[in-house]
Order: sequence, then structure tokens, then C-alpha cells
Amino acid sequence: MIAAVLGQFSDFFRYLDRFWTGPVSLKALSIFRILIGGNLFILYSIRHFDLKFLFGDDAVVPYSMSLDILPPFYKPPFAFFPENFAQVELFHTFLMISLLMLTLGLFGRFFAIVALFFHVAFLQRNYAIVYGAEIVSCYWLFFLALADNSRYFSVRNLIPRLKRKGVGGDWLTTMAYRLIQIQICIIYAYTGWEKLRGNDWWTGEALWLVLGNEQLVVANWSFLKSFPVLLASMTHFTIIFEIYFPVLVWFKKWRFVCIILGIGLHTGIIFVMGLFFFGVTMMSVYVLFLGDTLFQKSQNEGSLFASS
Amino acid sequence: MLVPNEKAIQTRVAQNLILPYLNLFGFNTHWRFFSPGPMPALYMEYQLNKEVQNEDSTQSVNMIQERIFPKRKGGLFYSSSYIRRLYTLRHHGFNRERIENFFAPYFCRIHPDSENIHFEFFTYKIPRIESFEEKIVYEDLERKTIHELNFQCDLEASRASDEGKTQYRFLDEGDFKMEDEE
Repeated sequence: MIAAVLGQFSDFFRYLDRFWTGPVSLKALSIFRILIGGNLFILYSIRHFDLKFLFGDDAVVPYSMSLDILPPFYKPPFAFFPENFAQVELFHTFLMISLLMLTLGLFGRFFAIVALFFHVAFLQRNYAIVYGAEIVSCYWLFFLALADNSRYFSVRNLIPRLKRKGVGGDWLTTMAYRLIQIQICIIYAYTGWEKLRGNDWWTGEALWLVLGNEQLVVANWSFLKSFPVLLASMTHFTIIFEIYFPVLVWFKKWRFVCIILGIGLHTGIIFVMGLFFFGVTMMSVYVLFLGDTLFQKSQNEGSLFASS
Repeated sequence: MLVPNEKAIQTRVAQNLILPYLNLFGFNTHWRFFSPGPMPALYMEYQLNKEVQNEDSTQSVNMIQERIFPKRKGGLFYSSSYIRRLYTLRHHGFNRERIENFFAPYFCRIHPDSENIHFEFFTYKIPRIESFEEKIVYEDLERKTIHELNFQCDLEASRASDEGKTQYRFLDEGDFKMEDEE
């Protein structure tokens, strides 16, 4: 009996080792890189025309008070945001260049680190204008900096001399891959659990309150008041999806269903509220869950704890 | 896992160790998308009070200009300019201290010839779905004022100083005075 128990533990640790350090789909990771890099590049290209209002010398938040709008719990130990408008323009240009390089797959790890640096610099500069896509992208850029994210679908592969040899992959890449998957589950779980504290989500009226907020929606959706049961059902579906996704997505039988429902949810948000960039930021992770199914896995060059 | 639940005992115990790193990378955030409930819409109207000389330059006239912020969104599917301004308003507009320290001085800076600015932050109460008959016309909805105040602009002090911060108090029906705190 003891041997059986020890055998179970051994299997469990072998599973953990395979999960954290085993082969993963580098093609899926490269697609994720393109989606995130491209998404942010377009978002910040649009933002580039509004730098004066957002980060300029006479912005709502002056340079000297950038960190003051953050509560103590959120303050960084030191800041590295641009301190005058010339630096703002320079930093923003470098940010866009690094995102473009990342999207094209040129020295993916390096440019992910560079993009993360400038990305966080602007978060520190004016936190008041930050929204969901930018906050979530901090995580994605960090994990991309750890991963071999430009093995496939890279401009470098078009040049024979620069094309990288071998199938690639290492335990750090797998860890980053898993951390991205776990992070999206944490995001959905927390936002779903928080919704359970809200009366409007229990009564099914939360979606109506969003649709009735003209500031957030792209059209007047108030005609949907004729379908209260539909609205309430969609409200409850949102909570159920966010709470159960973190668990069900790990089971092959439910994975595809979860992803289809997630695409439906975020596409609805894009269509109703115009939050295109946020939707792409969240949906891009789904490709990592489909990596095993759609693409061949890498052959990792070594496992952290044991040989592959 | 820890930081989205900032009130948890584990977070409070570990925060001195982990928070500096998390805040450095921008990881410290709570995940509350429309949670626990959707926030109401927030609108801001402001009036610029300025003295202008009339054509004969013999008399000054008090001129009031009414504006809204942000300007109403046009027909575009997505407007980054509008959304950023809206988030700026929402970040500051529910918090009186932020209005006082950041928002109001900003409007003084962009309207340097204004003597004082009257702000009104308000929201519309969206009716319950069952009690609603017609399409929403926002101007007909019940308007609820969150903050209303007069802010005295002082050009020299409205720029943030490196030596210290100037705290403004609102001249709200004569109850508050201007204070400089170092």
C-alpha cells in the first residue's frame, strides 16, 4: 500500500515536471506573440497622436505628481517614466519600434523586454488613463520576455542565413507558456468572483446597466429592454463563464467549448462596446490552449528536473 | 494570486516582500472588470468665469462659457481620444481629492484667462428594465449630482511645484479658504 501511495506521488511529480518543463507548441506561442505585439502596436500608434493630453507638460497629471495619484499599495519603488515632452515622444517612439520588432519576430525576447520597459514607464507616468488592455499586456510582455517566442512566423526565417536551426524550446519557455495560461484563469476567476458580490449580477440587470450607459456603448441598445429574459440570461452566462472557465479549460472535453464561449463573450464586448484591443488581448491567449491540438509540440532541449 | 485580494491576511503578511517587485512591473492590480457592478456613467459640465474688456475697454464684463468634458463621442465605432478622456474623468471625478489636486488645476491651466471655474459632476440614473417603456433619452433621465464646486484659479500656484504641493480648497459657498501647504 505504501508503495502504491509513493507511486501516486511519483506520478504526480512526473506530471508536474511535464506540465512545467515539457514540450509545448512554439507555433502557438509565436501566433500569440504576433497578436499581442500587433495589437499593442496599433493601439499605441493611435495613442501617439494624443501624447500631449495624456503625457505632456500640461497634462492632467503633471510630471512631478505622476506617482501621487497612485495609492501607497500600488506605488512602484522607483519610477522611470519620461519627465518632459521630448522624452515622452522618444520613449513612445521606442515603444512602438520595439512592439513592431516583436510582432515581426526579430529577437523576440529582447524586444519583449524593451517593450515592457517602455510600456510600464507610461503606466507610471499617468495611471489615470490606463485601461484593461494595457494592464493585462504587462503580464503578456513579461512572459514573452521569458519565452522563445519568435521561433516561428518570424521575418528572420525568411532570410536563410538568419533562420534559426532546430525545433527550439526550453524549460523557461514552457514555464512562461503555462504562466500565461494560468494568469488568464486567475483574471477570469477573480473578476467572476467579484461579480458575485454585486446585486446587479445576481438580479441579471448588470448587462442592462452597461447597455444603458451611452458613454460605454457604440450605439443605443435600449431597444433590448423588450427582451429582459435574454438580457438576464446573458448576464448570468457571463458570471458562469468567468467562474468555470479557469477549471473547465484544462479538460480536453470542455476546452473547445470554453474557448468558443470566450470568443463569443469578447466578440460581443467588441461589438457592443467597441473595446477591440481589450478583446484581442484576452482572446489571444486562447491559441495557447489550442496549441496541443492544432500544432506539433516542440522538443525541449532539457527538462528542469529530468531528461525529456 | 495574492494581490488581487489586497485585504487578505496572506497579502498583508507578504506585501512588504513582494509588492515592490510587482509594482515595478505593473503587476499589482485587482481584476475587477465591471465588478462588483457596472459603474454609473459620469458626466462633467463646467463653466468658465472670466472677465473680459468690452469693446470700449472701459468696463469689464463677466463672461460665462459652458462646456462639457469629454465632448460627446461622434459616430466612430472606436475613438481612442474619447475613451482616454473618459477614463481620465472617471479616474478623477468620483474622488474629491483627485479633483482638487489634479483635475481642477488642469482646467485652470488650459483656460488661463479664467478667474474661477464652476464644476458639476453628475450621473444619470438608468431605470430598471421592467419599469421602462420607451427608448432611453438621456436628457430625460433623473440627473444626480455627485460633486458641485467652484474652483478659484491661481496661475502661479496651479503649476505643481517641485518644492512642495499646493493644496487647494474649494470655494464652496464661502465655507472654504485657499491654503498653501508645504
